[in-house]
Amino acid sequence: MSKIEEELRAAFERHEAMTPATGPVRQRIDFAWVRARRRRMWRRAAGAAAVVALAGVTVPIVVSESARHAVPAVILPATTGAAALDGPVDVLLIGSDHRAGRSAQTQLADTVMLLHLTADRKQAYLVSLPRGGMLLDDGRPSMKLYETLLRGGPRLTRDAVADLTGVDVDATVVVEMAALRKVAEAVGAVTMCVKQGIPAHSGRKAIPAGCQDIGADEVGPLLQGRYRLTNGSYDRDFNNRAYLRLLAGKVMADGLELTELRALLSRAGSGLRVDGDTLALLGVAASLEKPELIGIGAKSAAGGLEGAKTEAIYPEVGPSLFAALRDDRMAEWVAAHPDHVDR
Amino acid sequence: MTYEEFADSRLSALLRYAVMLTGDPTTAQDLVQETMVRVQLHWTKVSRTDSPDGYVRKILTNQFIDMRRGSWWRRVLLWPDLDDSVPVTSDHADESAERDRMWSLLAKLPRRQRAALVLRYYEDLPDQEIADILGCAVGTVRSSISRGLGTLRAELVETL
Repeated sequence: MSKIEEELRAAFERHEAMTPATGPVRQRIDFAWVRARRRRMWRRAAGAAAVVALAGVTVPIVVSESARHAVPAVILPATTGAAALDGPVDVLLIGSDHRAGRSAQTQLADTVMLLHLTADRKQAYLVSLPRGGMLLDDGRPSMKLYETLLRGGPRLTRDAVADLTGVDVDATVVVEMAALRKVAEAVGAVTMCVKQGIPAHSGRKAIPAGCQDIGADEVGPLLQGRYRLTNGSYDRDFNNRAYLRLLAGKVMADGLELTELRALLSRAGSGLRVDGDTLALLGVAASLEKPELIGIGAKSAAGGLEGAKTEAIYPEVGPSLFAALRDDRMAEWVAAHPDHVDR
Repeated sequence: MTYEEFADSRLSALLRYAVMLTGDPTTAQDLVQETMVRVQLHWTKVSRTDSPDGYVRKILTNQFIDMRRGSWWRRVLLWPDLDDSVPVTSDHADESAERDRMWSLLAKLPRRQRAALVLRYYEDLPDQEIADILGCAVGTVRSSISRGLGTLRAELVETL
C-alpha cells in the first residue's frame, strides 16, 4: 500500500470520532418520518381527488340520489380492503343532465365513460361510450344508453355497460353539472384549447374556439354543448374528456391539502357519505403512479347516424377495446389504435 | 427484516459512512435522516433486495452526490475553506494541521471521487461493490480512485 493510501486510511480513522451518537439521530428520523408520512398522505389525497375529479369519481362530486330509485351515489362492491385494492379498477362515470328545478326522474345520461385504472397502477384511461348508442336485448334493440338512467337509474346503466363490455364495474358515480361546477370553483380555471367553437344554446353562453380559461362559468357550456358540433355528442364527449384531464392535471400540479379536500367535501352538501368503500376507491385512485388520464373515444358515429335507431355502440373498435379493458391490456390497445387516443 | 431491525443494526455504520462522505457531523446527520425517511417510504422494496444494506448505502451515496445541487445544501457550510484555518505555530500544531490537511483536501475532491475513496479505504469494499453503489462501471471506479489519489498526492507534495 502506498503512503498516500495509508494516510488516507489514517485520516478516515481519526475522524470516526466525529460520528454523532445514534440515539438523537434516531429520534430525528422518527419525527421526520411522521412528517413525511403526513405529506405523502396529503399528496395521495390530492392524487385521489384529481383522478376522481377527472372522472367525477371524486367524493366532492356528490350525486343527488333519485328519490324514485334511491341508488347511492357511489355503488361499490361489498368487499373492501385488499380485495378491492388489487387488480384493475373500473369506475363507471355518468354525467347526468339533471339540474335544479327539474325532476330527477327525467334525467338522462349526457356522458357515459369508463375510468379504467390498470392493475399496476401506472396509468388511467377514460373511455367514452356513445350515449345515443342502441343497446341490444337478445339481439333486438331495447333502449339507448342514455335512457338507462331514466328507466332504471345508475344501476341499470351499470348493468347495461357491464353486459355490453363484459367489464366488472367496481363503482358507479353519477355527476351533475352543479356538482362539477363546485369542483371547478374550488380547483380554479384550467386553460383549454377548444378545437371547435360551441354556439350559445339553451341559455348557455357560447364557447369560442381557441385556447382560453375554463372556469366555473364555462364548465356547463363547454361540457353540455353538442348542437351544431361537427360530430354532435361525440365531439362533446371529446370536450368532456379533455376538460377532466386538464382538471386532474391542475389538481395534481397545484397539490391539494387535506384542509382543502375537507372544504370540498363539506361543500358537496348533505347528500355526502364517506364510507369505507369510498375510501377504498380513493385509495386505489391515490395509488396511481401517473394520474393523468389517457382519453379514448371514437371520432364519429361509425355505427350509423348519431341519434338514429341504427346507431350502434362501437361496432368496429368495440370488441377489441372491451377485451383490452377486461384483460387490462389497454397499453397494447392504445398502441394499436392511435387514432382513437385523444391528443 | 423489519425497518426497526435494520435501523437498530445499521444506523451507527451509516452515520460513520456519512461522516466520511460529508466531512461534517451535522451534514452527515441530515444526510442519514433524509436517507432513512426515504428508506422507510420504500421499505417493502428495500427489504426485498438481495442486500438491503448495499441498497441503502446506494441511496445515501446518490443523495450525497445530488444534494450538492439542492437548495438546502447550500445553506450548510459544508467544507471549511482552507484559507480560514487558524494559523499554526508550534511543531505539534503543524503536525495536526498536516493531518487535517488531508481531510480538507478530501473535501475539495469531486463528490464521486470522494465517495469512491471512502468506499475503498474506509469501507474496504471491492471494486465491483463500489461500482454497484455508484452505478458505474468497474473501470470508472478504478480511474476515480486513482485520480483521487493522484490529486491528493500532488497537493500534499506541493504543500510540503
